[in-house]
Amino acid sequence: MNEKVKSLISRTLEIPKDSLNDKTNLVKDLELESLDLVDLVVAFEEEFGVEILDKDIKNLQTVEDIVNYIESRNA
Amino acid sequence: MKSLNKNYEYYKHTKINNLKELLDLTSNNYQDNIAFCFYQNNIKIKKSFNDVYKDVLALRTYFSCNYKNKHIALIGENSYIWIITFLAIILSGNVCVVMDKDVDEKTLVKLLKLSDSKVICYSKYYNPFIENMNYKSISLEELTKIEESKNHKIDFQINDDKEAAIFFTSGTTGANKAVVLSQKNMARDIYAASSLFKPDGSVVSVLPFHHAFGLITSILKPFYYGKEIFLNSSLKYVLRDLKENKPDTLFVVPAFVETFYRQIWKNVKSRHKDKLLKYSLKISNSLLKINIDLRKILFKEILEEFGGNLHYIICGGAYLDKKYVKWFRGLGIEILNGYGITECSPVVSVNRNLYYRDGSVGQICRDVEVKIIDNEVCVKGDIVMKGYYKDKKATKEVIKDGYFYTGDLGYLDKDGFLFITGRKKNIIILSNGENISPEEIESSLLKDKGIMEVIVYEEGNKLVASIYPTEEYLGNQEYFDNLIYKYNRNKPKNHQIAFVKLRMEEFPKNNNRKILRSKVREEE
Repeated sequence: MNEKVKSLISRTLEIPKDSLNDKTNLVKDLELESLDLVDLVVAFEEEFGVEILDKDIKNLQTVEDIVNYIESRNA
Repeated sequence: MKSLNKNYEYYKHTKINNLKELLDLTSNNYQDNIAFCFYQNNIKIKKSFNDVYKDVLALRTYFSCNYKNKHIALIGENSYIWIITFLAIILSGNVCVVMDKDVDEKTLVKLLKLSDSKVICYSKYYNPFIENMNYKSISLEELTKIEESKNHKIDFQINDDKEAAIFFTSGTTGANKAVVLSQKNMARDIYAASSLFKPDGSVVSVLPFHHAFGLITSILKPFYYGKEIFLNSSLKYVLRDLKENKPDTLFVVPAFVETFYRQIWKNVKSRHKDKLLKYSLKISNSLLKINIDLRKILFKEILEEFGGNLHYIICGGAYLDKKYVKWFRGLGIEILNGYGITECSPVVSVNRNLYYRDGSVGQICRDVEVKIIDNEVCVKGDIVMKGYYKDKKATKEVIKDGYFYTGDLGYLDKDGFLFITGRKKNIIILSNGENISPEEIESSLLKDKGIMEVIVYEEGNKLVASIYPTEEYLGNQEYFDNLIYKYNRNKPKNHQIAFVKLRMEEFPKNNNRKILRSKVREEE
């Protein structure tokens, strides 16, 4: 799952996959803004078939957070 | 789109003094026309101007029976009930303290204290933690259930000049200031800006309501004009909402324009049509010069992504590069830049539907006076705030002789168009006392195709340009050394750039995508 998430971030944001690790902070390290995050959220929803709620977006800070979130929504 | 590009008469309408008059006027003039539509549990709900009137009246009765002269905080995602609650709190004689829905609990407590808020109206869905806070609170979900009032007319007195709402500014310095606006401030701003610009059709709202631009400009102004407003509930659905609701006008901050631009290129590239688009734009722009407009045909596919009816994008809140204005005009969408500041309720100037100038933030709003004092834009008129809440000292520093000193530098051209050149606090003062506006140098450098973002600052009494290049020019020191050499050629010695620093990453920015200059300095 971690690898799938990293691949998707890398594809959507057009950044090299090996620059990402589980603790990479999307907002602080990749300097993403709210509109970029929305792009990413839409991509995750399509790929994993889960709905990511607006109110939860601000809590999805790292690759690890995203993996945990998707797993909890799928559970 | 017909373009006059010379000044013409103000759009005519009734002057209003408060929000009660706004409701009276719209319910009388537009009655059962649709004012707002939105999705609720996947069902599309429509509310007429009469519905709005009745709903505000019901909640207004609730607030006036329960609270007197209280500061009531309002927090939650954009929604119809949020707007109704805002209007009802104010019309009940209480003060509405508008909060960012994404603040954490610690900041919220600080802002509630700063604004003396005693009650919180909150979204159970978006901000559930508020229920457990040690505050009197009522959820927006409960407020929707309040029954219609027995009164059928708003028959109470309004004090136009009394404090009505508190907005927090989100400056680049990070410190929040509580801006107090009266009903008159807001009503006059609606009137003043609507005299210059009007949407020809419906509007899709995408900006957060806790900003004066998102609420007073993108909601209350089209409402005043009797236009239908679709309330987007999540940025995830912006494209779907545009396609479905076919707006004539969008109110946005520059980040949206930049994102739209990126998305359009990404889409055409994925379909290998990027060369075709470049070619079509070139042809279309040449044809436009001889008054042949084929944009609706040539760019039909792209325009359909925005619903197919989008004529105007009103852009404010931060600087938008001129290149976007020209590029979108090529497609047939006119970006009209405006200038506003929360302390001025917020709009000071805006380009008009048929009278605009690229690079300018437009004509000064009706009944508003702008004077340039020592290069600083100063504003006088009914739109200027009452002051910063409980901070007389800070208020005195910015309001002098009736003029609000915006802290922005600029000038008016011979036709009355306002141009913003920079922030006063960013001015570089060299040891010889000379003042240099970094933004002026930056906007000149930004015209180069190799520069994505640039910041100019002073180091050891010399100017440094820190550049984040476009993808093609990343790390190309030689290219930029040449560019700066050419730039320096015609400049006086003190205005020349002594060093160039190249970055591999974007600059750090705040939530409104404004570059955090002080942070850049710390980093470098």
